[in-house]
Amino acid sequence: MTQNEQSNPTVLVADDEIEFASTLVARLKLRNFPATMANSGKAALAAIEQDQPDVLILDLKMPDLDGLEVLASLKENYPDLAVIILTGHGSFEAGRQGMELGAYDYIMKPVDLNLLLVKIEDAYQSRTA
Amino acid sequence: MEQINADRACVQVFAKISAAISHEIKNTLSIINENAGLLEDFAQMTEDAGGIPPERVRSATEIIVKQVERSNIIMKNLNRFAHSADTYLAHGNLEETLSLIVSLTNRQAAMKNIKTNLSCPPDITISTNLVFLESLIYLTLLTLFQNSEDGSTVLIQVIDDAPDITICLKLKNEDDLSPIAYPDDDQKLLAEQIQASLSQEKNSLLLSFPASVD
Repeated sequence: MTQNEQSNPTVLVADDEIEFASTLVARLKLRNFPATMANSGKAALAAIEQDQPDVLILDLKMPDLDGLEVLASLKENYPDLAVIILTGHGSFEAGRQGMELGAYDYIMKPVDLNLLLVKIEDAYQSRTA
Repeated sequence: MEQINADRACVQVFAKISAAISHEIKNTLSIINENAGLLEDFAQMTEDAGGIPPERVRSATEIIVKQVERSNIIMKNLNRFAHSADTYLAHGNLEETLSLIVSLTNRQAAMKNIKTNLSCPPDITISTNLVFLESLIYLTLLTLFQNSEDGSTVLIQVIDDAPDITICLKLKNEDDLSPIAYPDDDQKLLAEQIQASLSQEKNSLLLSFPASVD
């Protein structure tokens, strides 16, 4: 990890749309965020178990486990993990449910990256304060 | 009254299809958005004298083109389904009709990693209320998906038994289908409108209807 990367939170992007997740990871890396991706709910849980990130960007709808199921599992086992939900549903209900399950915030797709960066920083600070 | 209820069932199918398609289009737009942003990042890199990595630019533009094509196909399918309601009775090619409905269920199938395999003779023409038929096939496919294991394969086969046609939707693995309530009330309503009969046999859901109701 470079000096610049060390000052930024580590981010895991969990989304089954590979081209979305990989591009978002690439853009985060260009901004010196150590970022990785997982393309299913199970892969996300395995990645977290192996190397817990500081912040998880979590898609709500994935084929094997949906985001709310992943969130429920994480809340118990990884209380320090800050989660930002990705939703494309056009409904605030999904985001609200996620926050009731312990997510820090949510953001709608297509993602405004500048807004996401602010949320990542805020989410990380909320856990380390 | 039955007609009104059948129309209501069709509206609900339109609603389900619209919800699934809006989710898919959001995903394609998200991918396009990210890749456009990445290209902007690369442009910034040249300003900062870092240089643009040409392969990555090419990759980003290819992804954008692919997602535009994906969105176009999704919208084309929605448009075709919407036009099924143009006239009460219409002629149609059965293989094209089934291909359309299978495409419209792609998202639901993907959510359970279900593969669908369509086998239909290319020259069967039907004359019926297409939107009722398509809605019925759509709901029947969803019933099968909901009651099968993740990773199943669904075979869609057609038996031309003139003057009737039977569409057989079955699971490749006989053990996969749990006992289900088929047909439900909406499926019964739609079936009545096109004189179809619905049944379940072991690992299959069967839909038989007259090829022509002229």
